[in-house]
Amino acid sequence: MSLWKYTNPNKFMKLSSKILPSLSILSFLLVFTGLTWGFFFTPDDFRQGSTVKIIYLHVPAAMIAINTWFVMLVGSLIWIVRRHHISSLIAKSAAPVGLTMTIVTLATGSIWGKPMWGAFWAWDPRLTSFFILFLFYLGYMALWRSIRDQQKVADLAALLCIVGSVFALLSRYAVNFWNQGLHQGASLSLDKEENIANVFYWPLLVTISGFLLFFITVLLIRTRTEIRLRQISNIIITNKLN
Amino acid sequence: MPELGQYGTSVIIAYLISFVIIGTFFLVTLNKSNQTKKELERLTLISKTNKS
Amino acid sequence: MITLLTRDLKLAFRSGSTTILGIAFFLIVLLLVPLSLEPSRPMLIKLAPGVLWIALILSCLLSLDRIFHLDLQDGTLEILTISPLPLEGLVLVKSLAHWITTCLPLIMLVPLMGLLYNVPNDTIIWMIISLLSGTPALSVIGSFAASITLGVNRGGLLLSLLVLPLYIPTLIFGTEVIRRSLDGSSNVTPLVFLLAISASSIALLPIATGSAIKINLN
Repeated sequence: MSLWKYTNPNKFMKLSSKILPSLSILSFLLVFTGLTWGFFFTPDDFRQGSTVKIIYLHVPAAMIAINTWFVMLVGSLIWIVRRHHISSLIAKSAAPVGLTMTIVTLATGSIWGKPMWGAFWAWDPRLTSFFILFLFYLGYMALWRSIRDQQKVADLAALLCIVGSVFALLSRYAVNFWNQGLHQGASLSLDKEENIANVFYWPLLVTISGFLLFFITVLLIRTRTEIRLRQISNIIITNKLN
Repeated sequence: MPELGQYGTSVIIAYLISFVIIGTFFLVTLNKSNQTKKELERLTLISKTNKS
Repeated sequence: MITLLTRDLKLAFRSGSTTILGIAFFLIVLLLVPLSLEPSRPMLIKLAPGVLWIALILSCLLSLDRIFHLDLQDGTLEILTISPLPLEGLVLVKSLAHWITTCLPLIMLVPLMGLLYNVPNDTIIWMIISLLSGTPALSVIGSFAASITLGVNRGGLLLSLLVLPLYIPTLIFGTEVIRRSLDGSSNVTPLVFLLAISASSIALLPIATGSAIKINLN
């Protein structure tokens, strides 16, 4: 329960400024190690050739893209229930990270797809779901930017995120249904997580951890920016009253 | 450089694009963070001098 | 509640433009598709399920930002939120009014579409069933998105950006019902899902919509 004390903005700023330097360095190290290991020191896949190396970017980005939405959901729920401003700011800050990672996933996915499937895009359930996720992030971010009243927009965005999460889950299911029927085997999907040999697995794990720490780093930086923005508007308001 | 074979270009392009996207995003984040920090310091100074 | 409904409907009929606008838009979309793609018969039948739903969704979008708008402007919305009537009930009434004025007329146009797109008769019936089962969801989900963007100036565009991804499951299952009737396979599963989406949206979303209205009015 002592974690709740970090919902106090000052304590949050202090803690985050302490851990940010080492966190960011560690994340870069892990990403660098993972990518170098994967790029230079792993063999090619017999089916996919060297394109399998794209996995070290594609999979971590995809995982972060999805997990970011969960972070936003949790932040939104905590905001609605416990009214800690920080949680709404964390949700707000997480969205651009998720958007970026979704874009990277889509880009690396299509670049990987061209030699593999012969086309940059296929309406495969996974790619389609990511496209939908991209739109969800865009909508959420657009909402934050379109309303000036900070209190109102925090509440509305939280509502959107919560309702959106239900529909996002539903969409995932519907998209699978749409392209493959229920319980049919995947025809096109590159099931990258299955059958990964050990030799690919470890560098992937390192890269995933690096991306995860990178996510936390950027999230902390952005949340700090949001907190400062709030402080700025508070100063402006109190000074106008003087 | 490992033997990238026929798919070499794709792999390189994928890595490059990812670095560019993530790198730009990171730089933009840092930039905004620095600007906000400076703005906050400036305003805090102004409000303090106003009060005194 | 009934009085609220009749009042809403009267208002909507007075500005009967919404219904007519919706119908005109729907027909225009139906026209644009064969104009821009090939008008051959087999092609049109294949496209029909999707075109029907897309045209319907786009027409719905047109009248969504009006759902709460008029009442917001003249202050009635605030009065209604304070009244003993539960806010969720108010939301449902408004969604129903939207459905009656926007979706229902379009459902009645389905046979006409069937004619234009060369759709076999029993598929036309499935089209109607699909719409009857899925359009309530569209109105309810739409009213949620409208409540979120209540205070935004020119919120129409933001409304569309927010609501269209939410419509995706309804769209998918709705078109599957029709498509499967064309191939001859069983369309029970998508129909059940479609009905489930409508039912749960009606049961649960108004709570969120009500909260959004309260948030916007404070």
